[in-house]
Amino acid sequence: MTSSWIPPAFIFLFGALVALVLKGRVKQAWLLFVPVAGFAYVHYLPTEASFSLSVLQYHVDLLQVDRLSKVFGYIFCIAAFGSFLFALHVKGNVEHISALIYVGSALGVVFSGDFISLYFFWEFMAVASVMLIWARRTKKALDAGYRYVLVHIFGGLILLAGLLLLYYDGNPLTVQALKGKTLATWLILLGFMLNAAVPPLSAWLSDAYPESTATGGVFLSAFTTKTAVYTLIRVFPGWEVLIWLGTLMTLYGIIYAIMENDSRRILAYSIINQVGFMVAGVGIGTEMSLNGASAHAFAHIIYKGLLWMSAGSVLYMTGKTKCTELGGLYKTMPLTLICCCIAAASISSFPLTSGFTTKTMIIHGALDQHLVIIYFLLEVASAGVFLHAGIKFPYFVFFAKDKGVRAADPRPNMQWAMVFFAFICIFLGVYPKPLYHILPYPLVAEEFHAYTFMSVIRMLQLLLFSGLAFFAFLGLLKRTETISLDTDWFYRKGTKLILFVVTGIASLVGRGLEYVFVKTIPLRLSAFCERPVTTFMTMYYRFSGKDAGAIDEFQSRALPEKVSTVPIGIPVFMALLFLAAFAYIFSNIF
Amino acid sequence: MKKEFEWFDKPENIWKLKVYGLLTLLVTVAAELMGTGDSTHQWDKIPGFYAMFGFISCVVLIVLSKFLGKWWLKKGEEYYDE
Repeated sequence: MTSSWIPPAFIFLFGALVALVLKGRVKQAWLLFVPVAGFAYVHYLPTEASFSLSVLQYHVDLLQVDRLSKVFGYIFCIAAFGSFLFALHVKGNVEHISALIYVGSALGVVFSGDFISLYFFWEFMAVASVMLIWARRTKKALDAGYRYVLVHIFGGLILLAGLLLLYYDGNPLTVQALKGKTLATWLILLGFMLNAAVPPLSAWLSDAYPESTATGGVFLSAFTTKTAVYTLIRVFPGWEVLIWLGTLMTLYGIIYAIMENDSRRILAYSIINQVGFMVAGVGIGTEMSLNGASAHAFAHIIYKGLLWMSAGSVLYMTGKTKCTELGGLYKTMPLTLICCCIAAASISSFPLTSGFTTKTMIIHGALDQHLVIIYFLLEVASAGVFLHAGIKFPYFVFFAKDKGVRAADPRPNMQWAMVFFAFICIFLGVYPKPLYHILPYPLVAEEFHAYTFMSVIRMLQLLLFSGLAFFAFLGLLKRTETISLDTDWFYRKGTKLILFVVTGIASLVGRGLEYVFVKTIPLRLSAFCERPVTTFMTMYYRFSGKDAGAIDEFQSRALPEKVSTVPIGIPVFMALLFLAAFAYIFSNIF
Repeated sequence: MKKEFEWFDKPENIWKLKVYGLLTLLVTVAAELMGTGDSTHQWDKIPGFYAMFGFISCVVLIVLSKFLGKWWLKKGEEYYDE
């Protein structure tokens, strides 16, 4: 154990503690300083650094450093810096503190050496991040937040079940690639997939993220899904099922994003689409495609953060998010528009932007493995990305029909944050070498050349003709004031159905029990206790085969209880009998 | 009051955008003919393959989501409050 190194998560958790007591400018400076310190710290972390704690005779390994964890460590710190800059003006502690804990927990997952600590940070993330939704303080945000946290706790429990099974199968709980396809590994995969928003486990994202605060959405877009991508790269590289699920995600996200009216919900579905590329890359599992998944996660965090910033700026300045209420904002929000377009170009992987230098790696990886169908489906998705995030989002928010909404560019700190992220989008597109240099397999990355004459021309053809399709079919894309049903229907409407069925069954069972235990048995018992001899005699006559006439005749005579003398009162006798029966039953059971 | 920037609202500018846009499309297809040798796959040999592919993909995606939305998935905004 090298005690001179601590997990990077602690820097952010300590930062959260200190931020509690700071105020004003000092607090703002602190919020920016913590990610910078985190970045520098991740940079200097040597691969042999470790940090373990003993909990109940078990060694929890909180620090495991290699190239993969470092890539995610770097980008999480950069994303945190940009997001805090964007949110710097936010008053109060709730958002800042929970964001610090959220980022810290994400880093905790990335650097965890064993599944126990990973699991704890995993759950911390869910609880800290929901605050960024609740901080919006609307009824919708409150409800969506509850659903969000419940779904994540459910996912966490699946993960925990998988981990426990893994442990009882005699495996070590070290975070490493799992090969065997057992119930344990499938459950762990399912837990990770829920956080990566793989359909049908994806509705929490499109349900909750759009309800977050204008600044909270920027944080949310970066950490939860990308932490899940990291765990998939780490634990499930080359699992073939992920190729297909990832490809499905890319198309699923697009189709929903085309249907959506809410600009931030378009971006939420676009996350599902983009994470799909990464998940497919993990499934392909070659060094090239794992590099691609990591690089794409890196670039994605920046351009998607920037898209959420521009949507957040519009929300912050106008209070509106629906495409049907927006339009014509290019006139008064030029900087937001330009930054939005840079992000839109990046997500569409236009040449000279970060999307082009990263996503092509994954698609190239698919072709290298002769996965022709997957290759073409991913190309369909690439075309669709430009359609929904590249054009639709900026077009309906900033252009389209002028709805008369007038708002200026947001506050300076928000503008600087957007410029910072826009710069990285272009920088990584023009000069991707620094990013390639830090990827898990640098040798493979250095041999990869995104820019050839034909690759650029083909990408431009694909994207520009997608743009042509957008404008040619603009009539079909007309915005409507609607929402789109997703799998959250099952726990939003479905629960009502379940409640209806369950209460129906329960009331039937209740009535049955009432009939037996309240009406029938007590009545029979009281009749029996009143006339025990007559009842026994009747039963005796029945069993000994006397005919009905004889029984009627016996019953019509004076009852024995009425004419004979019994030494003790019948009720006392019956009570004694029951007590004896109970005593017998209890003495034998307990 | 400062006059607003309204470039995109003027029909003559939209007309210009359309013309330049279509010209760009033509240029990207024409440029492909200048590139040589880099056709490792059969579909690379078809001129303008990616242009057609992009266009058709998007049309399919638009029509598919239109139908899914219209007949099944799109509901009024108050759907979950009812």
